[in-house]
Amino acid sequence: MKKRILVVEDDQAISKALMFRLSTAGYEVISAFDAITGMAAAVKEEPDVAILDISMPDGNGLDLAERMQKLGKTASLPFIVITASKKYSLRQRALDLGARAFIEKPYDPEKLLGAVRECLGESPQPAGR
Amino acid sequence: DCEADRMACVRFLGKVSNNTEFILAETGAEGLALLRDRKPDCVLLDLNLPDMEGIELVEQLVAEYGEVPVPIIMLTGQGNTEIAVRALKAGVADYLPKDGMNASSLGRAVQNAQEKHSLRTAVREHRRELEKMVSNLRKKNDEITRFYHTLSHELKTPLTAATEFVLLLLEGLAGSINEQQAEFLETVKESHSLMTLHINDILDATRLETGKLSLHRDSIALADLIDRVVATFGPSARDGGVRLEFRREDELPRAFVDERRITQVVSNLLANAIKFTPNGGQVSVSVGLERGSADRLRVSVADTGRGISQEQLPHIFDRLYQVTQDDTSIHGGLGLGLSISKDLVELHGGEISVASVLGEGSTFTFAIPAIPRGEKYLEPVKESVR
Repeated sequence: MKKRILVVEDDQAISKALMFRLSTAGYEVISAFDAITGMAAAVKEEPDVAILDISMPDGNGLDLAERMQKLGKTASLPFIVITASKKYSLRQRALDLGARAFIEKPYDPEKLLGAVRECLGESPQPAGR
Repeated sequence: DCEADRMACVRFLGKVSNNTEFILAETGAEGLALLRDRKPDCVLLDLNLPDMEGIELVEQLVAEYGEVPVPIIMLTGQGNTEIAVRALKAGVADYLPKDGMNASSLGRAVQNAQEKHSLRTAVREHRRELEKMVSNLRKKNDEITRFYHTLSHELKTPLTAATEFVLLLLEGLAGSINEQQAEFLETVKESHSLMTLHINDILDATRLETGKLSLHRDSIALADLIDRVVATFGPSARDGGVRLEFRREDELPRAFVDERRITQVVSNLLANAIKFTPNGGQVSVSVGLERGSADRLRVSVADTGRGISQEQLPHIFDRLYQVTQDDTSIHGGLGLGLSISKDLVELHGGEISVASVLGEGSTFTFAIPAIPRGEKYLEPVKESVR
């Protein structure tokens, strides 16, 4: 059974790239383009990991993470935060909310996949590809 | 309120100048009304009026206008210096005892009071203007910061997808690619890396300029950090045929620094050193203790590269300055790296300098305060460098 990753990212190009990268790595990807759809998908689709973009036009990824924590069903969903912002305060807030990783854009795909594996409790990929 | 005193003033000032108009009042209320109405150039105010104290009149004026609107000279009786001082504090320009008053002393007092009043008014006016200017500049500063944050975000977003798609192609995940395609894609990848660096530099430079860059400092073993940074430049040094060397003194004290930012500074210096050193050359990095009134940790990056001319040396840390030579074009880069490095070092309470001989090489050195033995950290030195 493939593990399912929810990607909440408003930029379509980045969402497409993430979709390709993650599905090639063997995961099933659910895409949402805003915080509201993201929340709904987290509840309905029961993903194993969530990747949340912080700055989306109509809703902050960190606010979404906070809402997910408060809801019983999604409270234990491990999540990774990705963002173009280097603001220390955002990083701090993300970690305080329990983010498993904080990844800066443009992202290093190795780092991202590593964070996903860590969330899923999978062993790290052997070196040398 | 005393008629004799009023007439004395008129007589004295009449001697001093013959085109003075006199407005006379007997009570405080009358005085205030005439003041508001006729706007005199100067007011001679008695200490005691039938309906109020002279000082009360002054206080009423201040309450009404926010400040004393015209020069006021308080006329006092014998031994009333205490009240007179109070009057001065309330905003009166001067006080003059009625005893021994004559034409010349009253005339001078009126003139001085007018001059003093106009100076005070001018100063107040300037201060208001300055405060407005400062407030506008602060707003502008915030606008600039917000703009560059948005800009950085908007540029990084398409760059993220572009970078990733090139990587996906290079990894053959969308089908196998031939050698030439790989080569072209590598070039695109490098361009993307440069773009990312530039965007980050712009944001850093803006933050430093607007005083919005903050350091997150920790006590660290500086030499270990620099050792790690040097190691990451191994491949690029090898590619350029440059020998890379690292030396450190023993038992160095710790430093209280922002690891990320110091890494940024050292990386900038190393990247430059390797870039400007030809094949067969050498770049040496060393970390040592500099003893002084306060101990400092000194880091230097020395290369055997092309060097910097004496004319260009004083400008090397200027923003947007790039070293150019007649036979080569600008070497790429926004020219922000060294300026950012200097600002970052200075934010840490340190100093950066360069020594160079054209054709032989350059040595960039920075020194930052060391944590004294037995202590955990240092007090922050500056909030911002501008």
